[in-house]
Amino acid sequence: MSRFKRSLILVTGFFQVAHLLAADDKLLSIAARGGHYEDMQRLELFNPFEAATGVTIITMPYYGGVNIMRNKFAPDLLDMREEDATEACALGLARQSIPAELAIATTENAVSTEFIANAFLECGLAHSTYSNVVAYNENAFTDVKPESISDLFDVERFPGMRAIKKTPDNILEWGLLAEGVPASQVYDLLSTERGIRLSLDKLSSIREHIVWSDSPEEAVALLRAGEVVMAAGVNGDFFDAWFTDAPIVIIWDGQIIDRSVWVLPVESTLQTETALAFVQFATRAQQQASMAQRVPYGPTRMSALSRIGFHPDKPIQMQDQLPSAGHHIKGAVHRDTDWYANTRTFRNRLFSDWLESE
Amino acid sequence: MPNRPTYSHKTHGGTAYRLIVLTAMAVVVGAIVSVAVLGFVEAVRHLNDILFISHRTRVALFDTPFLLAAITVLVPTLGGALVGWLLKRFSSEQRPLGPADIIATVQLRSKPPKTRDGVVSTLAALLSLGFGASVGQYGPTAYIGSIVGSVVAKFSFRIPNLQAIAVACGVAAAISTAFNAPLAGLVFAHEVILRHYSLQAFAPVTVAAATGYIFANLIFKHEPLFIVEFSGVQYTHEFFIFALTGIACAFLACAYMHSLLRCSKFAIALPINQIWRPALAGLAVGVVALQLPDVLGVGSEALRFATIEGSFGSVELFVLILAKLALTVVCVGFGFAGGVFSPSLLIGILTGALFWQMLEVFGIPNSGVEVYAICAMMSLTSPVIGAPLTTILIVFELTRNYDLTIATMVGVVFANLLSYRMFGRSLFDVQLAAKGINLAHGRERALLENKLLVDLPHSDLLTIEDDQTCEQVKLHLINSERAEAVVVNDDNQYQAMVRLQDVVLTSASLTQVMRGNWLSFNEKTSLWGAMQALHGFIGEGVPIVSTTNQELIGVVTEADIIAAYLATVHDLRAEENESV
Repeated sequence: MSRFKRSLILVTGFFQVAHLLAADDKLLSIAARGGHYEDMQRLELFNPFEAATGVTIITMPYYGGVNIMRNKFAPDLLDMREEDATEACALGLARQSIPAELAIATTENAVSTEFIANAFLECGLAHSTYSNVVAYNENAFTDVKPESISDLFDVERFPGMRAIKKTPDNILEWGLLAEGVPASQVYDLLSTERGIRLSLDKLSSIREHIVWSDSPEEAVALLRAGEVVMAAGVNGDFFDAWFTDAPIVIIWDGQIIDRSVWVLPVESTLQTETALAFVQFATRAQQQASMAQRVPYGPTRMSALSRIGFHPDKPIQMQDQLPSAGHHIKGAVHRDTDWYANTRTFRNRLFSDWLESE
Repeated sequence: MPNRPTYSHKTHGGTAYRLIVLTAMAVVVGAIVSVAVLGFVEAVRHLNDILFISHRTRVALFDTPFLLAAITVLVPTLGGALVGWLLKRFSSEQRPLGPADIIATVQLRSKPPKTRDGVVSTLAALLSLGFGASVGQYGPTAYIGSIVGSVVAKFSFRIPNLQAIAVACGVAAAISTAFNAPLAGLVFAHEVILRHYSLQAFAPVTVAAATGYIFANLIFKHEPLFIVEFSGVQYTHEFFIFALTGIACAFLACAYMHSLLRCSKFAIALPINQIWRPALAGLAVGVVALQLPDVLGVGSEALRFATIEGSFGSVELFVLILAKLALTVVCVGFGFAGGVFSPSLLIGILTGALFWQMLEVFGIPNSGVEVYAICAMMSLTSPVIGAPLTTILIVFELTRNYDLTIATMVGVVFANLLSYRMFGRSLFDVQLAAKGINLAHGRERALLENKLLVDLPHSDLLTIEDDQTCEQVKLHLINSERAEAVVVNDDNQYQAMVRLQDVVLTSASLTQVMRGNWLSFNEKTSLWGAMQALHGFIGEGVPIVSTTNQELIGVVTEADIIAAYLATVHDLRAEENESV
């Protein structure tokens, strides 16, 4: 299927058409995240899979959350954030367990050490790790450069506007990290109103310097344009901007590590077998390594790590760009998806109270 | 409490044998204790999670405040009832066991409490902590160590002092595991439990503490209690303030300990069934927790918040300190099983934070809240458990920060000095003193005070009945080559003593010449008491007379008493100077 036809589907009542097409067993519909990342998935995963199997992959736009799975025309496979996957699983929307044997069918390591810890979730298989970070515009600070997450809150040493997404996610963790709370205790303390208040107090101290952004792309664009000096976003987007010669540097301290997960909806679609075959294909060591060579998201398969080399277009050693690289991982927080699943209303209400308060 | 000496001079095998056995024993005890302690801590955490005590799970009920309130009140109350029932039904002691019992066992070389009682007490502590009572977890973990130590010591291995060493190993491993601090475990076992430093004990205790640390840190990756960043004390005058902090904490610690002792007495006097007393305390915890959820359980979140500026207002801190203190007193006093160590840490750290806020109010330049919080935390805890070195080392090992350790040291030393004068060496020592085991004047005296004369081998001094004539008595004495005899009546009741010179050259009757004002002991007289009474005594033997019916229990000679005294002292010296 040509790019034109895929676009046509998008334009003309996406869901219905996609569903009709999906009835054809040569079609696999995947909810993907869009943007540069999806383009790379198309290049390294979808096209090779299509070539190998004759299956046509169509993608549905997906902006996170679990509601898409309630849709009558749910996709055959979803690329979800772990937090959403956990919630979908708890709500019974996701198909339980992708069998480990399936993903480990082709491995050179011992089965038990092939995948990173807890890669096999109750409903899904984690395929890559990415990171929520703060980045700054190099040109904004000609003297001392920001290097720790507390510098996000230090407008005296690092004056200028900061682009931050208008949700409590990430910023709550950063507030406490900036207060010196160790990564391992962040979620314990954020489970109390005192912890949230403390973190929001920290945020209040830079309130006048915040530009609320609506999407990660917007944050990157603002940073690139020099309208803000710092921005919060995903490491892949910042890498991409830097790759195209924008003066953007990531502050790795306080990075919040997330994982992307392949999830199948619970309703047995006609394409379950094809979807599982795709998951098996996409999580092979070679495919994970090829993806990581284009987008700096860590593979979940150990044997993929050692296959990562230079970016295909520029001599950049991509292993050094991963969130898990030795010089990045110190001070990292692993997002606690259970905490996220348990505190949706809690954190959102306290955050919106804070937004209204001043 | 009769104490059977478990110490034996009979040793076998060479140095190599003892070295190998002691080291192997230390590794085994250390490993078992470490796993048990980690299991205990994990089980408490799990219970806290499923019972909505931990903030992590409480936050999930944010949407349903009424349900949360109901659970908050009911869970500790129910926990109290369970603990009360468990102790009443299954423990022969009918009370939780703790560090004081370990100290008594080791110091007096007495038989440890029954293993079963120890296990029941540990389960009760697990329930108490799991259901959110305001008690500590380190007392119970130390007790787990002592249970394992006592059980292993049952295989005597023909090594002297084994029981004390094995128990000390267990306790060292427990503290080492619980705090991730092997030096603190090692020192705690010596400072609080053994109270002497012999190479024979030091070597295995070190091995056990290291084993505990390896399990906690390397194998199971147990999180340390607190992680604090501190860049150094900036002003010289602050050391003076640290000393003041220590002094203030000493007063608070004394108030805390006095209240603990008073409340225990008060609770016993209440006309409430033992089973329901902890439930009452649980109810109090639940009601207070509706407003102050930080009082539930160990309160590790509050511990962390105390070192962050802006977490608490002054009034909030003051109220929380009082609430935590009062609830801990009520929980421990009303029979929840658990320690006083962790609550002391929390009360102390909050006090330090409050102290720091006062400095800020008066505009006194300072190095930030962390150092005051940590200094006060240990200054309050150290007098309570009587372990200044241990508390200083815990800070050193957890923070690896020299400045913070020095600051803590200054506070702790003043706190300990003052509270020693005002209260005593520790809460445990004062608890023991109330039971007649007074360690304040040294272990020797405590041991002698707890050895009863009736347990010594009795001499067969001549006994004669009071209806005999002086002439008959004289012949008896000469025939048995004695200079003294005990006079009893038909019912073997003690009447008096008579000496040979009393019956020679006299025509008076026996009852007229016998000596009624002779020194006598009874079944409760201790070796220490006897030694004191013997000052100025001239004679061969002293009768031991029952206080209930005046019956003659036996006669003990001055030589017996002195021999027993010397043996005891010699044993102690030998234990304290034993190499391997």
